[in-house]
Amino acid sequence: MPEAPLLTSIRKASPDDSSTGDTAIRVDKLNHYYGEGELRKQVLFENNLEVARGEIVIMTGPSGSGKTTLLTLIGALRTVQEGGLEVMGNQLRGAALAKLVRVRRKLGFIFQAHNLFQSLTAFQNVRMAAELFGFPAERTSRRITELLTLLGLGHRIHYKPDSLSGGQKQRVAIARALVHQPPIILADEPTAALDEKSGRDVVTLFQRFTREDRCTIIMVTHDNRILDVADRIVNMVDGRIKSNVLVKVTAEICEFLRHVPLFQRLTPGSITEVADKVKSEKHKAGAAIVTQGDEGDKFYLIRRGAVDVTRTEGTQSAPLNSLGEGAFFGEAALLTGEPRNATVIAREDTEVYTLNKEDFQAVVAASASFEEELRKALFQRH
Amino acid sequence: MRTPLAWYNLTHNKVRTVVAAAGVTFAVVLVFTQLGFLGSIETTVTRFFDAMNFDLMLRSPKYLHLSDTRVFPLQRLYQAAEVPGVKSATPVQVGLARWRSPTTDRARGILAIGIQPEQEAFKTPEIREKSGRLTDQQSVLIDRKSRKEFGPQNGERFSDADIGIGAEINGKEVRIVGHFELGTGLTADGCILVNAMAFRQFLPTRSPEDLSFGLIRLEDGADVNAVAEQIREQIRRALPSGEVADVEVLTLADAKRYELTRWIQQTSIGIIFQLGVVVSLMVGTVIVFQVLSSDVAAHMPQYATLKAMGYTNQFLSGVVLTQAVGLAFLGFLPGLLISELLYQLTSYLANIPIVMNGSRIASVLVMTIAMCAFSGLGALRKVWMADPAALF
Repeated sequence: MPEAPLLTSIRKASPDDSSTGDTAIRVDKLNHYYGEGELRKQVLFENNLEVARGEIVIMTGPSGSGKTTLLTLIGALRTVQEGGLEVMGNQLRGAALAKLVRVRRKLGFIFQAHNLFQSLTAFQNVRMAAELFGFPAERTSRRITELLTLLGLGHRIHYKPDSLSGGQKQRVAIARALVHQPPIILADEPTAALDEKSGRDVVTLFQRFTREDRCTIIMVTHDNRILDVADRIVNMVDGRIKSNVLVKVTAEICEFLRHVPLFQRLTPGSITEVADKVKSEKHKAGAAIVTQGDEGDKFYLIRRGAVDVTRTEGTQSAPLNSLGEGAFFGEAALLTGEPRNATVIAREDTEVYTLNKEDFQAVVAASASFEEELRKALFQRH
Repeated sequence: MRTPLAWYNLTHNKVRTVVAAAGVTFAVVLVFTQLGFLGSIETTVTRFFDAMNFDLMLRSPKYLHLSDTRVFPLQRLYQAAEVPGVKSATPVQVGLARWRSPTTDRARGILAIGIQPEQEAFKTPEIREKSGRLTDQQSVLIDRKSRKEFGPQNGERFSDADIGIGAEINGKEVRIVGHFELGTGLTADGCILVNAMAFRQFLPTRSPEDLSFGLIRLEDGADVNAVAEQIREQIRRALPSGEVADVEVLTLADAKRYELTRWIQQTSIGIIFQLGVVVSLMVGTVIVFQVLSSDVAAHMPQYATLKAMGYTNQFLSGVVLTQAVGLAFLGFLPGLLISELLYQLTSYLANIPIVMNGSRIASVLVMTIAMCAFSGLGALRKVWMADPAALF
C-alpha cells in the first residue's frame, strides 16, 4: 500500500522532468583541469557515471580524489571543460551561465557549512530557496512548516540561527535544500553535524523523497552509519571512479561468497572487496568459457549452472571434471602464468562471477589464508 | 512577497548599521555645512544689491568690489535720466573710511555709503524710514551687522543704546543717529550710511563729479533691456567718437551675477567649499564602502549559497544596492536634522545668514544616495566573485 505523502507538494510535475526518462545524471568521459598554462593540472580523468532517477548515490574517496569537483560539475557550479555531462536532460557541456543558473534551480544543495543568513529566521532562510519559483505562498508556507517540523524544528521555526544549535542549523539548511522539491539533491556530509538519531531521521527523509518524488540524491559522506541507505556507492581515487557498485548486487555477491568454501576464511572486509570487483558473465549451454592454450586472464566462480572441464593431449580429448555451483576454475593459469591447461564448456545455461588477473593477484597477495586455500584446492585437484 | 533580505541585513547587525549610518550622517553634515557656508557667501555678496532700489545700475567698467567701486562721471547719470522710460536716477557713493570705535578708541576700516536721503536709494523700508535722520554732516546710521570691534555700547551689537553716541570718521566728529540692517559681505566688517554731503567731507579726495553707482528706476511697463540699450546708445552718442564707454549699464541680475562670479569663482572661496563637498563625499564613500564590503565579506558563503540555489548576480546586486540606499536614508535624516541645528547655531554665533532650503536638501539627498550607491558598486565586485563552487 502506498504511503500517504509526507509533505505538501508545491511543484507541478514539469514536462521536461518527465521527458528525461529514467536517467537523472549522465557523465560521459568527463575530464577536468585546474589552473592555466604550466600550472594546469588534471583532476578528473575519463569519468563515466550514470545515475537513475530515484537512486541514492554515496560518493566516497580520500580528499583530493576529485569527488567534490565532480559534485560541483554536476551541480552546474563549474563549467564543463571536456566530456559530456547531462543533468535532468540538460547538456552542461558548453552551457552559458544563464543555462547553468537554470539547471541549478532544479537542484537542492546541502553544504558542509550551513551558510544560513544570520539576519533571517529559520523559516525565512528556507523560504529564500522557494521564492525563486513563484509557488503559491500559502502552500509554500505550509510545506516549510511541515519540513521543519519533520526535521524536529517545529518549535524553532521562527528562530534566527544565533539561537539554534549546530545540528539545528544544519537541519534548517537541509530543509532549505528540499523545500522546492528538487529532482536532484547534492549533499556534502549532510549528517556530519548531526547526532545519530537526527542523522537517521534525515536519511530516512531522503529515502521518502526518492520514493515519492523520484528524487535523486548524491551524497559525499564518510558517515558509516548511513551507508546502508545507498543504492550505489561510487568510490573515487586520484580523479578516477575506481568502483561504481550497485549495493544490492554487491550484497548478494557477498552473501554467496560467504558460503563458498574457498572464501570462508576471508574477513568480511576482504569478501566485500572481492564482491566489489567481480563481474557477472552469463554463458549459454555449450559455449566455451575457457579454451585450452589461451592466455589466462580471469578467475571464474560458478554462480549457478554447471560446466564440463576437458583436457586435450595430442589429439586425445578427455573429460577431466564436472563443476557445479560454488566451484571455481581458471586459477592455475593466473598463478603459474602458463596458458590455459584445459577447456571449460557450459553444460547448461551458466552464470559465473569473474575476477580479472590484477584483482585476483591482489586478493591473493592480501590474504595468506586465501592463497593457502587455493593451493590446497589446486593440489587436491591434480 | 519576496523576503526583504537587504532590510533584514540592515536591521540584524544594528551596531554595524549604526556605524555606517553615522558615517553617512557625518558626511551629510559636512556637505550641508560646506554648502551652507557657500550659500551664505552667495547671499552675503549679493545682499547689498538686493537691498538697493534700482532697475538698472550705472557703474564704472573698472568696478572691483564694494570697497573699491571705482568711479564714473556724474554726467552719465544725467544723460541716462534723459532716456524715455526712466523715472528717476539716483547717485550713490561708496568708499572705505576709518572709524574710530567709541568704546575702545581703536580705528578700523568701515564701508561708508553716501546717499541723497530723500531719494530712496534702498528698498529696505527700515533704511528708507531712517534715512530721514541724516539731516546734517555729523549724522550716521550704522549697520547692526557691523562687527563688535566697531564699539557698540553693549559690546555685542549696535542698538538703541548707541543712539546719540559720538564717534570719529577719518578724523571728523560724527554722531550715531540710528541703526539699520544690511550686511556688506566679505568686503568690509561694518557699514555706515551718511548723506552725500557728509560723504564728501569724509572722503575729500573723491571728486564731486565722480560717482560709485547710479541707480535708475523705470516707468511702469518700460522694458528693462530696451531702456538699458537706449541708455548705452545715449551715452555712446555723447562720447567723442572712438572713445570707449566709461560706464556700464547693468540689471540687478547682471550685478549679482558679477558678484557671484567674482567671489565664488575668481577667488578660492568657491573652490574651497566645493572641494570641501567633494572631500566630505569621499569620506562618506569610504566609510560606507568599508561597512558594506565587510558586510558582504561576512556574507560571502551565504551569497554563494544563493547563487547555487539559482539566484542571479543581478538579484544579489539588488540586495547590496538596496542596503546602500537604505544606509543613505538612515544617515541622511539625522544629518539633515543636525545640519539645521548647526545652521541656526552658526547664524547666531557668526552673524552670517545661513539657511536651509529645499533645493539644497534635494541635492544633498541625491548626492548621499549617489555616494552610497557608488560605495555599493565597489562592494558588488566581491558579490560577483562569490563562487558557489567553493562551497563544497
